[in-house]
Amino acid sequence: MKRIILIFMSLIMIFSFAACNKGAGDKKAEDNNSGDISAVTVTPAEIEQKIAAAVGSENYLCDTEIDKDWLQNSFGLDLSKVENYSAKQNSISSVNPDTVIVLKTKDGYANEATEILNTSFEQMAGYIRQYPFGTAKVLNARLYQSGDYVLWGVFYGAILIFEKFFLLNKLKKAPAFVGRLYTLFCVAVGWVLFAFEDFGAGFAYLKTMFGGAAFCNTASIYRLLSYLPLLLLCAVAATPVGAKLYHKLEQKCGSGLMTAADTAGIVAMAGLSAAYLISGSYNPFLYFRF
Amino acid sequence: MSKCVIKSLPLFFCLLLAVGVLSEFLVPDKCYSESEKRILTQKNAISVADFSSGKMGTEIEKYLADQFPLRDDWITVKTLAERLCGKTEISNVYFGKDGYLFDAFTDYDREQLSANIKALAKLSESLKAAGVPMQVMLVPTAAQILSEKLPAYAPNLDQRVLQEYAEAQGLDIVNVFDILSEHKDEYIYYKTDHHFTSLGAYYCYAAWMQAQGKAKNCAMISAVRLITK
Repeated sequence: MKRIILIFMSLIMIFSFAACNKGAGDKKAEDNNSGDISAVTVTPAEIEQKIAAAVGSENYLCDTEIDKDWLQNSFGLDLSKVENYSAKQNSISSVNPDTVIVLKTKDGYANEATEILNTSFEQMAGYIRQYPFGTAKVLNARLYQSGDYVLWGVFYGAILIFEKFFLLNKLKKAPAFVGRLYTLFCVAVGWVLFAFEDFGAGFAYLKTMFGGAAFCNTASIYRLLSYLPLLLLCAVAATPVGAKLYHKLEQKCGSGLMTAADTAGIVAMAGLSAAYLISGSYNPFLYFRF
Repeated sequence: MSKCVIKSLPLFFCLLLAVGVLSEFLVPDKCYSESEKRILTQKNAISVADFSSGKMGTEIEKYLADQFPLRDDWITVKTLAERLCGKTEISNVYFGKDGYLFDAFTDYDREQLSANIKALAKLSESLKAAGVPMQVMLVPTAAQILSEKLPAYAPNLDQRVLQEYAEAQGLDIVNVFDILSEHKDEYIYYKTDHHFTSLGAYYCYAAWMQAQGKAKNCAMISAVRLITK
């Protein structure tokens, strides 16, 4: 199920976008090892073409297929564990380091392939320090693995970049609630990417969120009613009302009684958390999945 | 919060972790959960070979949750907490009025339905060829007949669509929806079990007899007394 597309190289998307925004000299750091994130349905060749199109024909120097033997012997990739791939470099690779390698690996090989490509990239980086050519290109190389959580990472990466360059100043001027709305919007979308392991199901869910279905039906009224008490409680708990109340009580009852209440409260919350955990409804072990 | 409480927090947390982990290893695995009617996850489900696909993590999660000591009691506590928060549905079960628990029926597998009904239609056809009549009785669940007792706005699919589909495929249906609805104030469904009671079954039998042209007097059965609750 987790076929993973591995992409070594050549440029675009948010990442070169970031480079461009940095302005300055490395703007044309095109043929670096950067990457693209795509759904599992696209083929490596299609990804390679998209990369080429994004870089632009005059800047894209990866014109020659990399030999199969070269991939296996020089890079050390086990092609029997690769379902499909596309690998190109410049015809005079001793002068132009431009290289693109896109791998669609079979189950379980993705991490190993990433490591292999990382190692060969480090060798390349060491090499150009001795024989400097295309240094900027090589140092801007990127390696991307598109599995589950990578998309999530990219989503937040994109937001961060967007914020840094456009949004931050505007958000600072806007009233506080605008920033809060914006944050919660991003969080709600981000969780969907995080929760779905399957691209298709995740996007279908997003589509529903953005108007792919009726705004409200009896089921949504039912859910709202079911969670209303908890939502109201959370809304109040998100304000300083609770802390104020606590301090007032402390003044009235004295610290001894409050210590007892604190302890009881903490033990009760730990017990409740354990109960929710065991019944499987809320699960912090989610992070095991990394 | 007093300093003493804050200082003892990490200790408390470590103790909790230690007890949790130790008991996980010391308490022997349970095989089967009587109350959940399912086989619990065992240690051998965890395989290092599944590490890279992420399946190992999921299995560890399932194992820890399934084999936790006093699992049933913890679940009781969690259910109580959810009920207090106002939830009326937990794990696809509605908490209805008068102490009724309902299997939520909100969707069904269309492919499975089509396959099942086709198989029935085929059987009916070959029986007909052999001169044996065949009738089908689709008994609705409590959520259909006692829908007034469901929580407000609870999603509930009309199960008649299944019967209509079966009828459209040429099956000879004995309709029991009406007779069960007529007697919905009687004790025809168990409160905490998804079956109908013997009384409910009797009304369905009466409906079947009527379909055979042999009228059955339902009045006599209404004298049945409920001995235990």
